[in-house]
Amino acid sequence: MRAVSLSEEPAFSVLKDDLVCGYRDISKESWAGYSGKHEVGGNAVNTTNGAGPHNLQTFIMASDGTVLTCLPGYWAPQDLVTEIEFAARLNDVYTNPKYGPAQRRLMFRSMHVAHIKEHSHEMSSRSHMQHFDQRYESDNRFRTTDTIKESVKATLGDGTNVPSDAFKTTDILMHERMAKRPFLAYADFDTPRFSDYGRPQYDKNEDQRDPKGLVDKGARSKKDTIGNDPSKKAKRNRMIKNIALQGLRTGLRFAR
Amino acid sequence: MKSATNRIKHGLVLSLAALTLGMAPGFCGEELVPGYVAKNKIQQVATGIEWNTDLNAAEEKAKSANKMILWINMIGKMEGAT
Repeated sequence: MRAVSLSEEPAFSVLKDDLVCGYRDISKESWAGYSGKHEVGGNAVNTTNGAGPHNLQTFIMASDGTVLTCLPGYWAPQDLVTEIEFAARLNDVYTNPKYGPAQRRLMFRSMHVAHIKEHSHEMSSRSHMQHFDQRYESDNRFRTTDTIKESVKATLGDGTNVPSDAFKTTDILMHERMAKRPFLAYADFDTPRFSDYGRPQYDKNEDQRDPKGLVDKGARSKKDTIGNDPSKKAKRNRMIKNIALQGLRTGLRFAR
Repeated sequence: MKSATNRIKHGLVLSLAALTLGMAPGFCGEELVPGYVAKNKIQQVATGIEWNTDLNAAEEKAKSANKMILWINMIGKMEGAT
C-alpha cells in the first residue's frame, strides 16, 4: 500500500496544515500482511476503501495519543478527510471537561454508530470489500465473522455461496468495530484484531501489468514481496535447516 | 446445414467472448497510476508533510500546537519501497 493518494486534495492540505503526522513501519510485526514490493518509481493503483487492512492502518488520535478513529487499509482522500472531520468532533467530546469518562465513552459509541448514516452514497460505493477478502471470510470464518450482515447470515448455511451484497461495506464495519473501542490509548489499541478481515495478502500486481492493464503471469510469479510472506518464511527456514545440516555433516567429518 | 450454421454461430460467440475477456483490464474500476506519476506524488507526500517516526515526539508537538495526530502503520517506508 502506498502514500500516493495522500498527495491528493483535500487530504494533502489537511495533513500538512491541520495535523501532526507520523508513521511506523510494521513489516516485522507478526500480524502484518504482505504484498508485492513496490519501489518508489513503480506503478500504483487507487483501490477501494478498506482494501489491504493488514498492511496499512491510519489512526486519528487526540494530542495525547488516544485513538479517536482508525481506518484499516486504503481510503480515498475525500473519505479520509470526512473521517478526520468526524474525529475532530470526537476530540471535542474528549477534551470537554463537562463530560465524565463514562459519559464520554457512551458518546463515543453512539457517535461512531450514528456516523455510518452520515456517509454519502458515493463513500459507501467506494467501500465495497474486495471479492477475495469476502471469499476469505466466508470460506474461513463464516460462523464467527462480523463482516456478513447478521440478517443474511441467519438465512445461510455453512458452505453456501455468500452473495457479495451480504457483506457489510468497510465504512460500516470500521465504525462498528471502533464503537467497541472507546477512547483507547494507541498502545492499548488491539490493531491486529481491529484490522483483521480478509486474506493477509493484498496485491494488485501493479508492476506486472502491461499498458492495457493485463497481468504478466511470468513476472508475477518472480516478483519480490514485502511484509509477512509465509512462502519467504518457509524458504528462510529451509535455508537455516540446510546450513545447520551442512555444519553438522562437516563437524562429523572432522570428528572422524 | 443447420448444425454447420450453429457451429459458426457458437464460434462467433466464443470468439467475441474471448476478445472481450482479453481486452478487459484485470482491475476494472480501479485506476492504475503510472510509476513516474506515483513517484512524484510519493515525493510530494514524503517531503511536503513533516513525518514523525516517534509517537512520543508527535504527541509533544500535537499538544503544543493544539492539533490532532494522524499516525500511519504501514508496510515499508514513507519515502521508500512499500
